[in-house]
Amino acid sequence: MDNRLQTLFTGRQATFLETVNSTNSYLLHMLSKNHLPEGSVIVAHHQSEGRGQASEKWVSETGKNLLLSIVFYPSFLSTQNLFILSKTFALGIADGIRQITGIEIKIKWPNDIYAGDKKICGMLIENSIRNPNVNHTVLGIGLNVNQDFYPIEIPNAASLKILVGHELDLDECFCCLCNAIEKRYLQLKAGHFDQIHEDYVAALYRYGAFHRYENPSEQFRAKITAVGDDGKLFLKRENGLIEKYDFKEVKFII
Amino acid sequence: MNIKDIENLIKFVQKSGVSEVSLEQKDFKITIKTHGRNEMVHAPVMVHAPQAVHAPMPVQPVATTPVPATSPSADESKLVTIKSPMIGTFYRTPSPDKPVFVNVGDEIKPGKVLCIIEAMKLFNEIESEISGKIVKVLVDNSTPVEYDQPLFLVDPS
Repeated sequence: MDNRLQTLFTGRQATFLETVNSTNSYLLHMLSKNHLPEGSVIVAHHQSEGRGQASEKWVSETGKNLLLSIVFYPSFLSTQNLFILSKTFALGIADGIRQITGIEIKIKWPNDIYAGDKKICGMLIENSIRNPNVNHTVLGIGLNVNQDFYPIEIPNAASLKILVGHELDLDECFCCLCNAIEKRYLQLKAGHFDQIHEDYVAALYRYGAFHRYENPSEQFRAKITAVGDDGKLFLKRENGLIEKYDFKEVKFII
Repeated sequence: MNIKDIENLIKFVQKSGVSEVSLEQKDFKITIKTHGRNEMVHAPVMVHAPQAVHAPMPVQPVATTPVPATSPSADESKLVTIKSPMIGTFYRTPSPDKPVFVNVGDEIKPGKVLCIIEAMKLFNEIESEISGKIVKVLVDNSTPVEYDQPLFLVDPS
């Protein structure tokens, strides 16, 4: 075991795969057969069907990036308060990448990870619910580490290598991420929801300044003033009007 | 009013499409409620005033006879509703090109995945808590659902 891994359970049981359709799907399939210890991880060098939001593909060069999925059992959460998982994991990943690179890392609402105006990491959270309990949560992460180029269709993407100017050790990135995610998860488990919320808002990309956004009817300038417990984004227009947006109802114009 | 009259009245109310009718006469009162298309009929509430018996006939007044439960939806009372545990968007398939998790007529048991509710980029697979047979899917694919909104009708028998 890598001594850079300083966790109690996260990443302690890891399965490494050369290629897989999707680390989330693989882990979910394993969970449907057997119980796995909390913090068990699937790591792959290549995903043939890596999933982004809904059915958007996540483009990744083989062996250059960190593609992993981790299972948690947050049975202490109410099914009506699951957005806190997004906040917790986004903070954990942002903390980890900050430690690896030393650069400023932000969370683009609701849970993309940004450095400047570039997306460097995406996540996909899949929960299994048997009312009123959460059976398990699978956190899928695609972190761009050493990839040199991105297709022209995704101008907002970058890798850590592009940002810091040198190659990074994938194993070290893995350990750093696990350490940081577990720290935040333990904070959640201890019930420190207010602290998580406060840190999440403080880490928000574009928080508190006027920028351009787009809803189905128009483009407009507004600033982010808050994120609700349900995850909704509060945007304040220049005329003072505040609107609440669901994910998919508003786009950031970057 | 005799039993035949009451039956006719129930049929009349069901046909008319109104949701509730109350009728009050000297010696009794009846209320018939229907619920939308199910035409569920609640047993009427009877109130009988002391009646002057003119003829010395030892026969119970008709109005005191309980109306038989003729509700066509009596079976539906056994059905269990599976409700949404959260606000979000309801999906019947794991992804657009995949088959539905469950169809009407399918047998389900605890742990069977019924649908996905997506809320704020979180994908939540909803598992059944009960055993039974899916009788009806109450929500269209890819539409918004509220907390506690009925999603499926299940026959638990």
